[in-house]
Amino acid sequence: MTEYKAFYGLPSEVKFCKKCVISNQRPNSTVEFNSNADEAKKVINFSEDGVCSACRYHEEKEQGIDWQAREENLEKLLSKFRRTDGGYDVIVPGSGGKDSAFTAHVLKYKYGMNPLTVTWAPHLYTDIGFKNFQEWMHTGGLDNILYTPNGRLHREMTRNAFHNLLHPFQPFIIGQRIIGPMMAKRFGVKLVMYGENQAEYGNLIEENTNPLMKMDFFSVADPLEMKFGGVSMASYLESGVYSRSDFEPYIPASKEQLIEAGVEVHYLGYYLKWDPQECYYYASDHTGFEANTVRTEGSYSKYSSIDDKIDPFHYFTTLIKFGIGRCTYDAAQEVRNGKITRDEAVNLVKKYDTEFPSKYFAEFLDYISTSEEEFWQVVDRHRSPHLWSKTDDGWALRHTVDGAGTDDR
Amino acid sequence: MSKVVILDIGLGNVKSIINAFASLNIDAKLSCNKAELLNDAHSLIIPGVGAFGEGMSRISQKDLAAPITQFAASGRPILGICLGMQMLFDSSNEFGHSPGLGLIPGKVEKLPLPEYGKLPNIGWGKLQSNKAYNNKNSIISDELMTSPFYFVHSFAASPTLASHTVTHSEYQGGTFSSTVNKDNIWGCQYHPEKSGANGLKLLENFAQQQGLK
Repeated sequence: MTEYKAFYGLPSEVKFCKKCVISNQRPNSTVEFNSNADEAKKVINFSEDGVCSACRYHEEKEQGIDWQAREENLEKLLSKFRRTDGGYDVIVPGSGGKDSAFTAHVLKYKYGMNPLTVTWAPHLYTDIGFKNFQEWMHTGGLDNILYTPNGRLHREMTRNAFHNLLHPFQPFIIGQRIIGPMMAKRFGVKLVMYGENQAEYGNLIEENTNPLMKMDFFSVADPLEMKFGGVSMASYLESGVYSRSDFEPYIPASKEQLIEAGVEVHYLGYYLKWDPQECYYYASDHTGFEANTVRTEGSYSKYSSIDDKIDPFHYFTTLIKFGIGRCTYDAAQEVRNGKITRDEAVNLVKKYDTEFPSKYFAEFLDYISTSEEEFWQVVDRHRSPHLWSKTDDGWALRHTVDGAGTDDR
Repeated sequence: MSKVVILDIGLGNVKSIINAFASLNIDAKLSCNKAELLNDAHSLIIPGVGAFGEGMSRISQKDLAAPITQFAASGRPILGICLGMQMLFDSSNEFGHSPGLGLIPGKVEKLPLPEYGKLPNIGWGKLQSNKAYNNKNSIISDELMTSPFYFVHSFAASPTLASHTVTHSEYQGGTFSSTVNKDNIWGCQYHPEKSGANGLKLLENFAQQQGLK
């Protein structure tokens, strides 16, 4: 067999988990503002019997975890931070989607906390996303601060992130990760509660045994070294277009400042057994959350990540870089949570995973000031040779979960 | 012998059906094993989503048509869901003529539509009882008539005998057979596994059916 070059430090042999449908090409969460084009990715672990670490974690979640004890720990943690003077005592970052809607509402109305929800604005709100965001406060009965960064700078970063890294969502992820601790520091709140644990999806299980998020994800030593779209902040400043003050929303607190301010960042998913579909039902009952009327392009789902018009392109780029499209993420999660069988998941992936998100394509191109021709040049440049082959009918995956890739036959 | 067997032909919301029975504490299993079906199953669910011809070809690929007929003849209850219901009939004209299992006389045709009407029918619809149907032990208890069920289909069955239609439902001004029954053979065009508490009740009623022999 010919060895094709593998980009991004991905494993050269493509394998699919025997229990779900994720492949061994799935990168772990990284410290986004260190990310540059030639960085080698760390990927999901597969055990010798061909099962991914996300599935192994889920087995543990079903059997090995004493959820009653975990909830007692949550009560203890909240008691330590709960205020009685009316001040905010926990920051809940989120969009008002099902997960953050659940987190904020349950903290306030079940556990008697006084949360301030904070939202790092999407690039381009969808109608349903903005409606759900407002319902979160109006029906859910919560307070919120919507933080929208300088749109010109944010667009330029997103453009760079697309062209240099094929990762247009990167500047958003940076903001989303740092806004919690940043707002905590600003409002004198010491507890930040995110919803789902990143490790649910296959980061190192060891990271899952700790409710605290690794500080590297949201703190930085020297802001000038931070990279946005593969370009350092120093370079943006040298261009003369932006000043240091434009970067205020992107500069996270230093570790020392956060430690000094006593800020702790936790995941609710560590304390309560997390199930995305149950979060959806809860949000629909309590915060006026509505699913979309049509399925998301590239998948069959209607209620996850529906608030940003750029979001479908995030998943399209993971399909190009890692061979993992949106449907694979959705279906793998649903297999683990017992909603569908692996066979059903394989069929869904076959049907939807490579579908191109055309609905917001024109708006996306306009947002990143890129022509359609350039778009495809950048995309094709980022196709790793070990994943894609060029056929008479265009690009095709060499390996797919249903064994119908060009090199599977 | 207490198991509900859900026929594994790789089509349908099978995990949702398994989960539905699990929440009812009814022992149900996904299988395409003939011996298991004929020897161990108390009742059979034929699920299905997709095209008629595809469904039938999967049944014949797995050599399941004869065991299903044998199972039906033994008097034990069968429930076809959506495409699974349609395949109980003699034939369908979806993408050309395809023969079905022939357990209930009748054929499957495209839903009647007004001009500019849209297919598929996706959404929630209610059941209306059919006067010509007179089985006292219907799995469609009165309470099931009060809340809607979830539909997604473009074709519907037309039983040859009016008395085989348990309920009708409406779509864009037309009516079609939404629940059918002949002896121990049941079919529902809607998805009880996607219809909340109402759907669970229907599946429970079905699983409590006694075999006819």
